[in-house]
Amino acid sequence: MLEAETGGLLFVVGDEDGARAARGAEGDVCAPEAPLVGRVVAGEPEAITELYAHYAPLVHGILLARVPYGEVGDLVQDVFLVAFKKIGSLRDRERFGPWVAMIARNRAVDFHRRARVTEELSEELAQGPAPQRAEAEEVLEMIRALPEAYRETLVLRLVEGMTGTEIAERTGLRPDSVRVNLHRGMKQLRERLGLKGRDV
Amino acid sequence: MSDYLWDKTGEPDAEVERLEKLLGPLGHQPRALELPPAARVEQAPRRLWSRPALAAAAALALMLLAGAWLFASRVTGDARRTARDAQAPAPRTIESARDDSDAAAAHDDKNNVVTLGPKKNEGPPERERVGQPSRQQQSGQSLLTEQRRRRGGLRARAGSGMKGRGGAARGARPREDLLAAVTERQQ
Repeated sequence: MLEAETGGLLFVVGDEDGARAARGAEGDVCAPEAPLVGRVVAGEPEAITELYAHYAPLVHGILLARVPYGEVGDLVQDVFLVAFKKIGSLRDRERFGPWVAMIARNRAVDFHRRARVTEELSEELAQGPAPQRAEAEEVLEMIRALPEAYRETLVLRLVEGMTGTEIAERTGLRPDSVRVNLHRGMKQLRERLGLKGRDV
Repeated sequence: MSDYLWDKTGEPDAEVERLEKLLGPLGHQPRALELPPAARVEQAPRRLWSRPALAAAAALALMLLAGAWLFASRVTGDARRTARDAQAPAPRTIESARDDSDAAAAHDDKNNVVTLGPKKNEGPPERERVGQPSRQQQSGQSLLTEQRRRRGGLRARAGSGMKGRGGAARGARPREDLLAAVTERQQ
């Protein structure tokens, strides 16, 4: 089990059994990002930009499944900053995706742990979001109420536009697990939305 | 098998498409990564002990512990044996029996038998040597010896007139018998 502590956060990364049990069996599918990771470790900070471009939607979706939409942008930056600093502790360089995904999950947990007493209202929040945005956030809230394995997969699919194969590749989950999570999550979401859609 | 929800292929699912259009704007908007200038890749903590080295060290420590335990158990075993031997009563020898006995010890040179007199307030005297005749046997033996002496004396008397017929050759007569025979002859 790989662990990295950063500012009070405990990042559990890699092919740890606990995460595997919680999120289903992780698979052998993994994007070959080892050369980029090697370049970052060797002292080429520019390589992190390429990793960011490839994995930012994944991190964004994972965070969006857990924290308010307005906070996600900054948290994505935080996650990649932590990943950049701690990338030397990554043992298996081919598993950058699952590693950064775990950093994002832990960052979301840390976000909720720090209770915020006051929160400034942005102009948009003060006026109220546009009707379409309001509906989108309402649906997003329903997805967030689903079990963790379903909500993360559904957000990556419906919000970030990733296919099941891409989700499996970047998160390190088995394709079968992703497929099951997608279909079961969609079924539950339909029930909550009151839709009569096809029962897949 | 085509599955729109899985890989966006095949017959589109209207509800899934609607959700995609509704939620799509909330997705990630490309934004440059902003890293602080001071941000650097931290070196991974150096591991002093690799797993095989740790396993070897643990095995070695176990072997040392087992060896120490065996050595300690052997030493304590010897010490216990020595203590047991020291506590056990020493085998009684003639000298120790002499010291222990308050009675006078009678020593018979002929039979090399030590008979001990009875101790005060104690039972019958001990006979120390295994296989040696008992007190009764010894008293019987003494009687036999006395009878032999007497017979020897009679022979000496009888043989006083047969000088040189082998009486001296026997040579085993007690001196008292000889003296008695000489006295008789002089008389």
